[in-house]
Amino acid sequence: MEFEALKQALFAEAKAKGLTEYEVFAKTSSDLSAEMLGHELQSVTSGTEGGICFRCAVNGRLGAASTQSTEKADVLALVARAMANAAVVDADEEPIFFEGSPAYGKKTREPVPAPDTGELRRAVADISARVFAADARVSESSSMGAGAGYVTVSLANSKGLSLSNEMSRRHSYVEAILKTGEESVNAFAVSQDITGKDPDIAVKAVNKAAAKLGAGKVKTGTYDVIFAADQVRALLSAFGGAFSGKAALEGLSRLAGKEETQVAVPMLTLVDDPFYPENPMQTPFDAEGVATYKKNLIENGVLKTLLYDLTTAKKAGKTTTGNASRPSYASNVSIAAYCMRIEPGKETPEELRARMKDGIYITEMKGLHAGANGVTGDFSIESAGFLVKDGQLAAPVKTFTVAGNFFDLLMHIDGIADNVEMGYPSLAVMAAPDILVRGLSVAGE
Amino acid sequence: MLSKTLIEELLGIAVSTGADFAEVFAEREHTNAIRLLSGKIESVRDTVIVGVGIRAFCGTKTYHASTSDVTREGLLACAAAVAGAVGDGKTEKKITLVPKRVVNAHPVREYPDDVATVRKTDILRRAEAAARAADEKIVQVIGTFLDVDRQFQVANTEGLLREDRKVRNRLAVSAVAADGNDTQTGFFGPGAGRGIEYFEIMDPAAVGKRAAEQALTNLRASFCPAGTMTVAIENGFGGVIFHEACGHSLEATSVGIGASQMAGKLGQKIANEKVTAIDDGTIVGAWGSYNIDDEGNPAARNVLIEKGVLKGYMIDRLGSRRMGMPMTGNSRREDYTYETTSRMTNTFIDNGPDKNEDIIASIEYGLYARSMGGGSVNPLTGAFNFAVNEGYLVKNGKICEPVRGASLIGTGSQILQDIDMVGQNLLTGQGMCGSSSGSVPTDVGQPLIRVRQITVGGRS
Repeated sequence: MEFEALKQALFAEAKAKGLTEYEVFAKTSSDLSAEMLGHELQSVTSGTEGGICFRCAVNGRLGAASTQSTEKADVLALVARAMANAAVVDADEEPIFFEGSPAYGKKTREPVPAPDTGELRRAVADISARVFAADARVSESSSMGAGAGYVTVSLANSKGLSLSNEMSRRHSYVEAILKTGEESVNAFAVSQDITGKDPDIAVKAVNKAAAKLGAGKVKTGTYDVIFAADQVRALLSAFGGAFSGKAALEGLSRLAGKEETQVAVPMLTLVDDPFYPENPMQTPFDAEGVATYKKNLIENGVLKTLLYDLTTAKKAGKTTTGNASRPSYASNVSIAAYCMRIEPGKETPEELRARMKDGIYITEMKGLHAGANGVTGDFSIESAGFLVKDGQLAAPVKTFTVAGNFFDLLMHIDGIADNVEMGYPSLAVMAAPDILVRGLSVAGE
Repeated sequence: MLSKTLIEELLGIAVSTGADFAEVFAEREHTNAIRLLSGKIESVRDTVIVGVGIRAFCGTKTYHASTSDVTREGLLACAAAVAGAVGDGKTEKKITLVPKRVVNAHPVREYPDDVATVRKTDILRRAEAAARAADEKIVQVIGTFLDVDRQFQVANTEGLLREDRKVRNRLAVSAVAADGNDTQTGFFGPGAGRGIEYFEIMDPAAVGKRAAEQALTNLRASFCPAGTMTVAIENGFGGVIFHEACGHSLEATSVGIGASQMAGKLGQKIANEKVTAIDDGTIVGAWGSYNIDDEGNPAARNVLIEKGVLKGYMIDRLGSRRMGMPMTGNSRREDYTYETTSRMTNTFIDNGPDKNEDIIASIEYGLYARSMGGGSVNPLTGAFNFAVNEGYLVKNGKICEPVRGASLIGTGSQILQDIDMVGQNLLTGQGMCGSSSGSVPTDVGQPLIRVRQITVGGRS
């Protein structure tokens, strides 16, 4: 069933059940990918997936239910299921269904149709050839892939709101494995297009892996540290939940009540920009239909705003920032940034290292899902990288932890480089440069 | 679920262009997640997934397509997508499926959908009340009650056709303790592959209390010292150490492509002789158990390491082809959209020869990790990490003051040699394990163990 037909059927069922406020949200996606192991094609996958969620207000409570089934009985049953779920809820959160924003922003990237399987296979074969050409030590266990996805989101409610958005993304990746004697090392590189040529992810992954060969240990102690841009993105991803106005209301954010106060060094400005040109997954409206817009979260070190959806904003006495999020059709409305971006500093990464003089350049952190506490800000993370001696990258190092507190770290940043790089640490799109922090605890040998 | 004749037709299409094997996996899963926050039921996430994944093999090349459109047209298109990806050959193969009944070894008395929702919210409220009652410093309690009813059907061109149903539920409680500007958290989340009757034996109040006590302990803890030390890791979720440090490296997913530190080491002594490790998907009612895996093979009890010697891997069909070894009933996928692969079920270090009190008494200075958080591993190198959620310093053989913010890192091959004492209080804990085929429920487990020497990440 197409969205319009599903919507009509559900709206009619809702009216018949005496509901006056309700909403239908649907998300469909199609994905295609090809992967190789060494020189051999390993797998070709494709998927089409869709789901629909019905939400309604019953006696001032919100109920929701969702399904992937398009059988008429299953679809119509969503109304009764959502009503039953509303009866269970007793939180004093008034459901709000939105009539629409006066205007919506313009996307800076439009979706493009997916490539065909043949194009993907040729792209991966080319990446594979480049990986093996880059270094004689590349192992047949190395893998590479290319893929594309296309997503359609539709939202309609009893207030007359009717919106839809289409987004597409493409990617390619390499996991280069180098084996020499007893030692094996691996490194990843990803790209936002299927060829992975600009910059060349084959060369990048192989060089990253080669640089890790012969890594030694670090002595336990206190070090000045530069987090590489992709690791800053990982930290933002692990702790970005603290910017949720809902987390603040729930007592789960250390940024609660800190608006208009200094939460970071003055050199730090953090932006949430739904229309960041490098972000392919742009949306002009959020999961509740509110217009999205660019905003400073931290401006010269001062917390300007947290992120809100309609319900949380009302409870907190604020205005929604258009950050209602539903990662899947089945998700409840939550709050998330679109593309957190740290504004570039003035120094190049080389100048930043020169100024640090001696310390560690961290290029890998593992297990942030477990070793980082989003509520307290504490982290203790398995890391790898390079020693920096007299401003120059020196020997590779591995198997050490770096520990600290994210919120304290914001107040102790001593340098921000100018190399803002975009990427996906997990589901979120983030952009950040290298960052220098003094005096972090490192545990090694 | 799909009719036998339709599945036969889909399999026929999937192998019509030259594949040597094909498989159809159809799934319907109902999930309810009720969230309690600030003393109120905040939301119910109630979702049904429906879909089919079709896969074909040409040797060790795989072709997979999935769809949530389970109309006849949608399924034919899905099978055609697989056939199209395989190539343009022409072979005709008559598929005859032989349905085989699966005996349910994990009885469920109360299916989640048959139980009044108020029973589930009551379980949440009892947990919350106990957490709040622990101390006035408990300022927030978040509870989630999850139940999942998963039904699936799997068939392949070898004639296999089986159906199974797995029910599981879990109560997860996070408690937040605050004192002035200091905030700390605690977590406990037991679950089982049983019906709602599980909460007759698992007291919700005890779950809430445990989460609260952990948060309160962390509130009075100072930062853990950093460095290399002897560590005793408690039973239950402490078994995550084996799961990360070794378990993932024994999955065919990495072994089969030579990207595992454990590849080629069968029969070799890879661990201290006190270490016997088992993956057992047959434990009745366990969180990570099932009757058949997602390729239709019976769950099994597989000894991975016996007295320090590597005895076996966890192998799915693709891994079996790559490695030339039999399948072990370990093939799992989060849902039909993922291509299935080798995964752990309930994985644990078995009881050993040492008395628990001797283990603590043997440590002059070190860390007692009472409760572990999650972690991750690089199977290629075996480098792993995991978080300590509740830890204490051990001095002169006695457990002393609590410490917070610790993590443990090392490499699998090294830590297996360094586990030099194994206690006798084997217990499992529940977790969700992430890998290329998505997130699946797994148990980890062990008795109290001692690791002679490991790097502890800390801050003082």
